[in-house]
Amino acid sequence: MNSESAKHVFSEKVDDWLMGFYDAFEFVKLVFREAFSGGFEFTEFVRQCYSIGLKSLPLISLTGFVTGYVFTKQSRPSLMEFGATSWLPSLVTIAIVRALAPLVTSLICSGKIGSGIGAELGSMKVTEQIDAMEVSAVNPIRFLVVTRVAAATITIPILSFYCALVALAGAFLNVTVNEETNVLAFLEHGFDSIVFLDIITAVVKATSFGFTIGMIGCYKGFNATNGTQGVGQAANSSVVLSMFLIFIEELFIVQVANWFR
Amino acid sequence: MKSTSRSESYKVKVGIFVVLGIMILVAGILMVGTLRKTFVSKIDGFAILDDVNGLTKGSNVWFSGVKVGTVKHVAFVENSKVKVTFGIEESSQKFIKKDANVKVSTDGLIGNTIIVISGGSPEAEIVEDGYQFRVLKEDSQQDMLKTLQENNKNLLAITADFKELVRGIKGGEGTVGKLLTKDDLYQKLNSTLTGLEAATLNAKATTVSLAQFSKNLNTQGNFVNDLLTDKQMYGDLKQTVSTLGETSRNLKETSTSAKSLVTDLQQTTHKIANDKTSTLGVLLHDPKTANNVRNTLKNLESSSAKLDENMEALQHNILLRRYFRKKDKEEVKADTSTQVTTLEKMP
Repeated sequence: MNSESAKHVFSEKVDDWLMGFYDAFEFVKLVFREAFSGGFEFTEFVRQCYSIGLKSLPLISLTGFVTGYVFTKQSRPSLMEFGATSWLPSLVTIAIVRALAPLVTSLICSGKIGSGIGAELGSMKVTEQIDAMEVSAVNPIRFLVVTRVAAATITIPILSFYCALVALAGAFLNVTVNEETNVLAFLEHGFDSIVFLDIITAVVKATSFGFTIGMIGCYKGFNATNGTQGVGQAANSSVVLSMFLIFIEELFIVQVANWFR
Repeated sequence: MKSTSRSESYKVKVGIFVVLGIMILVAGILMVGTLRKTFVSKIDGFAILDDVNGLTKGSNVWFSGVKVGTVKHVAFVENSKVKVTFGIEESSQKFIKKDANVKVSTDGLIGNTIIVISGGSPEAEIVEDGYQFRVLKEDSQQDMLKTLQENNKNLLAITADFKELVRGIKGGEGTVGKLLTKDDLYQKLNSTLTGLEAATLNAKATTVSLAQFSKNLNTQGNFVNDLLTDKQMYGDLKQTVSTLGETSRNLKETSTSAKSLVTDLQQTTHKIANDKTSTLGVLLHDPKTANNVRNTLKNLESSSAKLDENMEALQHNILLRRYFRKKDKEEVKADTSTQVTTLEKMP
């Protein structure tokens, strides 16, 4: 028992968790080093942008539209009690721009892209394709990881802008059906309460969420073990961990943004 | 070759995707910038307030209900006052005069806190950059709620009084209570009302009669109407009244004279009655003198009769007969001409 304890600093689980944290930190360091050490794989980056961004666009558009419509529909009765339905555009725009658009986009992408990256890289890892790339003098970090992380970091903010646009369209549809509000009046009322800090915060959030999704997916895939079972675990854990980290980051960024308000 | 073509296609699609995404971002930034008047030239104004009621940087500034700028800075100054610096777009500057006031308000009952610029006379100068606005103090929502609370208390007290009043009425207290509960009072009131109704009917009939009477009076040719409308008659009446006045005065003078005369007569009578030495006193009081006077009158009467006989004799005297005949003729002639004149004058 004593010899078992002597092998670990705290306990096996805690030590593993801390080791995993350290490995992740080292992985991020490695990715950054490779990203800025020259020789960027632009074609692969464009392909990943297409795969991560454009292919997610229909799903994001549908989700965003439904989110905006439903959020407006659900908010109306509460505001109606105060006779403040004219505040709906303002309320919905604040909610969409500040929180919903980056969050919904990231959660959808963490499920779709994070799991995809994790599974793809995991299967490449367990089938030793990554090792083969190394043998054939192709830097797997630069080719596989940097391109995916960069594509996720760039396309997810862009997807969140699309998401905000279609969510506002959904909200407008609900508002105009009930209140017959003009689109200009809707946008004017909606954006009247928005400040530059909200837009900057939304961009920062979406960028960090994209980076997290790409990085977690790649890390989990790159560290997949135990054959096909490991691939499934990598896909699953990349989704769970990226979602968890997205909420943590959301909390942190909101707190920091509020210092500047 | 095929791979290169696919890669080019990806690049185009991704390029469009990124460009559209950036356009959405830019549109959002422009919209916020336009609404926040970020890209508009502004002048600064400020006001020092006691309470800003949660006003923050970025809050709107309204002038006549139009957004003309935003709050730039909120900071404490001495004596716990708050200096609020706000930007006003230059295009609105010419409409805002130096005698305008600012106050902290809300855009709606539960809306955001805003700065409202109001007032300003046309002859006043236009505000300049860095101008300090006067602050208009008015009741805050808390003050209004306090007043409302006071009203509620009053309402409660009134309700309690009313409750007490209704209870009293229900219990038959007071005039109204008795009226509602006592049957005899009701009967009396009912009979009073019946009498009142009859009186009203009589009054109505009287009114109708009066109206008829008034109508008759107003009929042309009626004496009262003439009296009121005929100017000539008024003049005559005035003349008559004046004459009556004159007559009255004359009568008064006559009465005075008559009174004086009576007084004189009384004095004279009294004098005669009391003074036995005067002629009339002697006549009234002395029987001897009275007999003498009576004898004298008898003698005068017989003398007169004798004189008549003498005169008759003289008429038949030859010397004087002609004179008397001539005189008779003239008298007859005079009578005849008088009768003819009278007949001619008759219609």
